[in-house]
Amino acid sequence: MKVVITSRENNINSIVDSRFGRAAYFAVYDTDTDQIEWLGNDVVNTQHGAGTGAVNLLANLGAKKICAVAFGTKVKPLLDELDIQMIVVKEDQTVASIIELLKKK
Amino acid sequence: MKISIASGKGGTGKTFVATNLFRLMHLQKKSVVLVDCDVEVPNSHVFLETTDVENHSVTDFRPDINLDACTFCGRCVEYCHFNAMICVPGAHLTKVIPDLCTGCTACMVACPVGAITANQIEVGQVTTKVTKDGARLVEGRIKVGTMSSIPAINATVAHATSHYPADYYLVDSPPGTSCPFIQTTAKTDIVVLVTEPTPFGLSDLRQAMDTLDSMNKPYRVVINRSDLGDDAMENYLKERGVEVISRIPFSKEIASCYASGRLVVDELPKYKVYFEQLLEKILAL
Repeated sequence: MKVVITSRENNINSIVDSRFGRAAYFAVYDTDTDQIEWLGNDVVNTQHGAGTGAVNLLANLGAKKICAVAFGTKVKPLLDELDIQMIVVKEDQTVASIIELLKKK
Repeated sequence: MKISIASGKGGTGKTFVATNLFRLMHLQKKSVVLVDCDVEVPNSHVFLETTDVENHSVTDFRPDINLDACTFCGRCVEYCHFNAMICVPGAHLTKVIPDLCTGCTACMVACPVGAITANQIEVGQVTTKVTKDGARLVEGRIKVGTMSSIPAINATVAHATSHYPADYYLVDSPPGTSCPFIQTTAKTDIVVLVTEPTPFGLSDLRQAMDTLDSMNKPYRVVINRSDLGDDAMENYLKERGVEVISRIPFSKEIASCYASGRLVVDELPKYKVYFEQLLEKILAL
């Protein structure tokens, strides 16, 4: 299963990016293989609808869960409709610590 | 002649100038229609004691997606500049997010199989109002939550000019220098920019002038509350060679007159003269 975590940098010691749609990177963690794929966010500089753009990108990757600090009002119903679980994480957490938490579950 | 009253910064006195000029022109028996294109908060009517005589809806395109015909190719998403479409083949979902859609119809053009058809939704209202002494105001108002005010602005100007022939149209523009300002001023022959001598006023006026220069649209400047602030505004305009056609001083009397919803040209003869002189200058352009 693919879990996405917003990230400021493309390494696991980075803290999460507090923005969802305009996150600098998305860490795509595959729970089956324990591999992380780093995705630069090409909607980051878009003027409108960055959140929707990110949903389109991540849903098409097959993400089943997304970890972010906050989800916007346009994004929430879309993710619900797509049956992608939203996990709210604390602002100062690192990508590595979130992966550890996911593994414990 | 169509004259827009605009500004970069909000709250500099667009509506104040527009409504007073309108009343004055009407008193002088000129054929004039006031067009309120400040469609997010149209408030010219507050100063004019009007009654509504006609009202109609403004509609705009929104895509209607037929999922049975959709092949989930994602071209509509590629074409949408506003990220208002999503397409997830795995979830059998193609969807528009109406709050982000500006009604540009690109998705309909993009769709190779005709799965997107045109749906019309209400995005605003155009209302014609008349004062007790028969002066006419055409007001645009967008529906709350509408992404783009452009359809309402276009409909308001089109309705006023096509239904109410007049020698002069005074067009109260939305603030700012983005699309609503550009759409409004582009439809007029000359722009009167109302500003105030503050750093924000100057910064936004500069942007408004740059925008109008790029449109080759002629403009003149009115400095409201001209005795406040500093000299930076006057110096800048002098250097840039822009004519200031009126300087309206700050006055507690004007402020309280405006705040109680009345017009300076009706109530304060000593300030009425500023509008008479301003009107003369505008009509001589």
